[in-house]
Amino acid sequence: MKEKTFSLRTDSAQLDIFVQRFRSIAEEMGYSLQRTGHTAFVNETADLGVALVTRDGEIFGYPHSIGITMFANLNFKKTIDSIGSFEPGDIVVCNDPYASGGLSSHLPDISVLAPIYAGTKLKCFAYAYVHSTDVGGRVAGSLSPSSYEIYQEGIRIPPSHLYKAGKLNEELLHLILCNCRVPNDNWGDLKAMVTALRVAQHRMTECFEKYSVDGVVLAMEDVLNYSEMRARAVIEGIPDGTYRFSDYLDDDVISEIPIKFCVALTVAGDEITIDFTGSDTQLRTAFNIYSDGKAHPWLVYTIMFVLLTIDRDIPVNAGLMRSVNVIAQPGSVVNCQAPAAVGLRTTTGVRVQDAIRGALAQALPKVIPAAGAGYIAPIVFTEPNLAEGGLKVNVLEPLVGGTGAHEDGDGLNARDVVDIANLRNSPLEVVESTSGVRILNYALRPDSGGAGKYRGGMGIIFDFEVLQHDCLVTARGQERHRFSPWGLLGGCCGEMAGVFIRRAGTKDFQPLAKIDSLNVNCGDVIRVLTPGGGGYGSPQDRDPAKVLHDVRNGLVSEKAARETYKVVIEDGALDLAGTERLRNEPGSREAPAIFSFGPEREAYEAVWSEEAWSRLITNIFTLPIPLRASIRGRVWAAARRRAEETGKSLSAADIDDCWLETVPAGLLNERAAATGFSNCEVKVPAE
Amino acid sequence: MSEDCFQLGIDIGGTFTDLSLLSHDGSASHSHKVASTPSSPSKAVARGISELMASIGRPADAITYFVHGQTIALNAVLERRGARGALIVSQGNRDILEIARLRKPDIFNLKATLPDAIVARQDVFEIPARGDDEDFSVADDAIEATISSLPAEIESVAICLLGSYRGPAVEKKIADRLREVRPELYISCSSDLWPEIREFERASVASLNAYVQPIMSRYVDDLSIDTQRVGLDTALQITQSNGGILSASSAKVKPVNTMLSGPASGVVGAAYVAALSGICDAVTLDIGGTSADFSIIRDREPVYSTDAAVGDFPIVMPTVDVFAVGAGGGSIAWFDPFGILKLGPQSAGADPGPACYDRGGTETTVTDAYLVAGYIDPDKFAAGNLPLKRENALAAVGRIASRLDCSVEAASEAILRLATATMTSAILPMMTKRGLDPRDFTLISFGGAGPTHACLLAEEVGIKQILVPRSPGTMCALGATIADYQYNFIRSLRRPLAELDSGVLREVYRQLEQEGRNSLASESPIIERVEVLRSANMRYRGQSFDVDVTLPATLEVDALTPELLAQNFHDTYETLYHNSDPGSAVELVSLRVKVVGRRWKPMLPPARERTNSAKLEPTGQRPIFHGGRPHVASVFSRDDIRDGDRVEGPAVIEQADTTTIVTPGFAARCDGAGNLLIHAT
Repeated sequence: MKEKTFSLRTDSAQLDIFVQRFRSIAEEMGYSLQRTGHTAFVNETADLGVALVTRDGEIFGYPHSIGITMFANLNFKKTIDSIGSFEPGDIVVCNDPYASGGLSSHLPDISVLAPIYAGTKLKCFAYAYVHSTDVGGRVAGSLSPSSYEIYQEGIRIPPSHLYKAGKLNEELLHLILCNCRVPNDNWGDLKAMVTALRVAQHRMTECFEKYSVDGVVLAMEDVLNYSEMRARAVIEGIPDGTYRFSDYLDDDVISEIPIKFCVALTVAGDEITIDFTGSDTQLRTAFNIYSDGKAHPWLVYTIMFVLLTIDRDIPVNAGLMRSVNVIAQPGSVVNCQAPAAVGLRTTTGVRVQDAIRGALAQALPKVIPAAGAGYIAPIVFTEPNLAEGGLKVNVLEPLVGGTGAHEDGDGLNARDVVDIANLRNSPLEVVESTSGVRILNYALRPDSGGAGKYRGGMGIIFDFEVLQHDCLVTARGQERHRFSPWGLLGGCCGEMAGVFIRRAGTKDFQPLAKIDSLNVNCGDVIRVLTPGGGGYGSPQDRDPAKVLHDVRNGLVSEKAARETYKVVIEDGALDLAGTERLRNEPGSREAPAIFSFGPEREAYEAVWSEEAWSRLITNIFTLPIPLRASIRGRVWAAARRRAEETGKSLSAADIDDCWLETVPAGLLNERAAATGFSNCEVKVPAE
Repeated sequence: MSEDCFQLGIDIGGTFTDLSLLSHDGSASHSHKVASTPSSPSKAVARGISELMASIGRPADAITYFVHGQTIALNAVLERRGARGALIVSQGNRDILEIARLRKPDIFNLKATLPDAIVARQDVFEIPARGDDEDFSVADDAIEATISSLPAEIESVAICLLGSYRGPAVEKKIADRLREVRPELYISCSSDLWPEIREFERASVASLNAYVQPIMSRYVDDLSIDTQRVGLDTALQITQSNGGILSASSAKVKPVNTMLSGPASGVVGAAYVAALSGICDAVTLDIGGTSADFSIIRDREPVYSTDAAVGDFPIVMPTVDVFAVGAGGGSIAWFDPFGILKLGPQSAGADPGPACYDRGGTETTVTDAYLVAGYIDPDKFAAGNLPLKRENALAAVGRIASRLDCSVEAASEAILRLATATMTSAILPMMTKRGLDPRDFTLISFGGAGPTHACLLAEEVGIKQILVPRSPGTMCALGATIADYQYNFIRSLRRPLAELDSGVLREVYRQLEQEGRNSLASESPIIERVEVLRSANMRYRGQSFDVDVTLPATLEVDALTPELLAQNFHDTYETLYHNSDPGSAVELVSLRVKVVGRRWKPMLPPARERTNSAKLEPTGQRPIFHGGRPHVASVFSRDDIRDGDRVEGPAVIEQADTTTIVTPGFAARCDGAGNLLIHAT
């Protein structure tokens, strides 16, 4: 191992004691918040977070057993700086991503921050957030994919004093609550967060008394340095190089243009740099991430999981991610500018991690699993409230799919993405007692996990019958309806998502596009299929006994066993000789590509070559940010028409032609005049 | 009751089977140890009984009460050695055990694995019926078809239909039909075991029960036969996870209720001895080889949880709330690649065990650190049955010392500080989760090393009083011996309190109470008195979690009204969360009844009093290392300590089953009940 230049000043027998104390204090904060919180998000799904934060704005104490797992490197510097000076008893509240440097990454996440003092000296901060049920805006719950400005997503609170020197700022509180649909719940949650902050103040004061103020402050820095050292040692073991990968969201709900994420991940010594250049522009829907151009958790959280998969013993704090840098262009979907809407950053963030894992899989094929379902969709059911008037709104189930298979084994069934927030589902008996539906099926979806030496985890099949008239179903986050979760090293893709409806009185299910907002009536049955995870390694290398096991248990069909796994099963028993013959048939084995993307993505990329996409994005990024999304739509549509006419792959020159056709000449000239930008770049066809 | 009658408790371990015999009047106690017979555990028990009774010259039928804590059911699940069983569910619910609640173990690990299912998917059968269907004759054909398609190899069947928390009729119909067609099968109905809303949790309980029922039944039958053969003539009682006992015949029907009984009995024992010293609220600390187990006692009763688990399987019936922390005597100290000292979670266990055990283990453990720090005497460990090798401990801790560049004693203290930090970091969040502050509690320490570490933990957490029972190594056996019969019942009754009829409320409580009284009547004639404790789970409308509100024991069933329930809910909510909202509507979720059959309990002899003017004298002195320097500690024998004796720290108090360390700044006093109470001075 390389000799490190920095060293720890805390006694080596004492450091782990501090690591544990800081984590323990954060966990106390989390449990205190969960116990006293008011809303379902807090109590049921624990969509909450807590942390201890240094004066410099880094998290040094983070809980393991409660709350969101992925925010360990949230950065507080902008929020702290924007307040300037603190005094004891202050509590700052904020939810605006743009004013807090991405501390809150969408408006429902209301954050609070309190300075912690030793005597008169500020030594660190305590932090808490909860996902509020509603913070106002154009829809109940505040989140809608089709919002295109943050103003539509609720009240924006820049970092402001909720308490000043211990005194509640009642005017601010009333302003906030006045803009929310569930003010009592929000105030209950705010009070619970304040309680959690007090727990931190109390426990940190004990630490200062026990271990000396200077000793504790030194330990804060050292636990960060220590995690950084351990993380760097892991990164050191990853082969140097630049690894490229891209992945897509199906569309942005207002067009059929896929949202593309491009990653060039460079490992150099003990540092990782992720360059998102080439990724899509910011959109006029709610899929944007405001990262402030930094290694925001929503851009890089999977790196933390990768490091901890390799070395489980690294303390989880901001130090873990210090050696990870990003390059994210302003005005891109991964670093949007105000007033872009950001409500659905989860959907985007999940796919960004798929792209990063695809890049890392090239460096670490034995560590990185094939793509998981990359799907997390709460099925929301709105029905008339017959007893009290108005509407009743409930989440039926949060639906997820299978995880990707990996070098050591099969993917997990229906467990993808649940790891980011300690998510739980709802018992069907509870769902049926609160909503006017009957759940007909909540089961694994056979044959959905990508075949491979190790098989992807299975997705879910969820059928429910509507028992009321005039109801509405929405399901934000439905994804992978168009491009499959990719397989790795010869493993097949996971099955894509699907959604169907059987209208009352009819016999068959009809496929639907994704559910945006679907009107349903008594007797209708909706079927949602979630994706399976990708497979790992060639299916022909799978142990036939495992294939037989899956067939017996109804997870893999005999047809798939024979055609994909080349395993012959006769009368419920393995035919080993037959299997051997089938597996040795000439032409049955080809050297696999590292990734299997499936025919849909291959067909799309046959038209939209890397060259064409890259030229499109390069051109779009020459425009002022507010114009990018609409021009992108026009050029894309023109290019697709051209591809349909020619039946050929698009070239950079095609894109330039379409660019000139569609972009108003006035705009081009204006740009040239204003920026000195030469139109040559777009006029001259690429070589 | 006379000295001629005995109570027998047995504890079957992997290597030894321990028997402890207590005369009814508390005047005599005997213990005996025989080699275990893992392939047929009851053989060792029978042999132990003959040998023990022969050694005291009494016949086996002098044993009038026989209670047994067993780990057969638990180990069958953990080691996946249970029976092949089928699970019958409602249509569409085949993957109930696999989908579970979507929780992922080992959450940061991209390659996390889930443990194997206890019912294979191919053994899960769907029928087109719900547990709350009023007319379920439509499913008759499907039920017949399912029953006839059950594999011949299965030994048991669990049934969990959607909606069966509302009533047992449909599940019972299937079970009855199964009994006709396949009378050899063991059958577990979720609506019978625990009819609470939430189908996965019910299915988990029913499947666990079905998984262990065949093994448990054979075991209990063998034990009865083998012990009768040596002359035992009393019914066998088995301990439960709720701290109570039940008859062996009931345990055969509901073995799932016994799975977490081991640690529960220890807490029951601790609550009992603490009450003798007038202590009502306590945290218990039981340090064994692989873990430190904590639990909470409030108002002389163990605190219960309804989210316990066996492996990945939830156990939602009330269970004594014990949480384990990975810091036991065998926990291993090690250095990470950057020279940072760490402890655990790896443990040397009992085999090979700590380096000082001299059984081939070379890793440095907490027990080695105790030895080097002078906390335990190598020659007196485990009553001298397991002499420890000091050189091994010195060598093992010495390796840590040389990396830390300090003395071997300082290194031992560094290891113990880490152990303390591990315990502290775990218990503070666990207490906060339950809304409690450990500083308001007495620490009851037991198990092999609890009393050795208690002062260190009290110093760190700020606990002001420690209690060390007279016999810290036998808390589980004591807890089993004094345990009462205890049954829990639940009825889901989800509706706004405003829509609840007083008559229905009273009728349900009466039914649940009657169920309990019936069970007690069939269990045992030795019950002195029956206590009935009623509670109700309620919440504010719109909330998704509920609070278990215990109703005052003085409240008669006939006086109960929805308004009274609401009032009790608002009060309890205010106490717990300080933000009750008396104007808001309250919803009822379920009604619960706990029925306790109090037994006559054997006496524990009081502390002996001094008969002469002699003072307590130390048996010697030895250095102990604490706070960065050596202290000369007086060594006392616990046997010499009499009522009212006081020992100032630094001191060591030795007894057969543990060593109590009184660190500088603490003092111990023996009270009239024979417990040591240690306070900061």
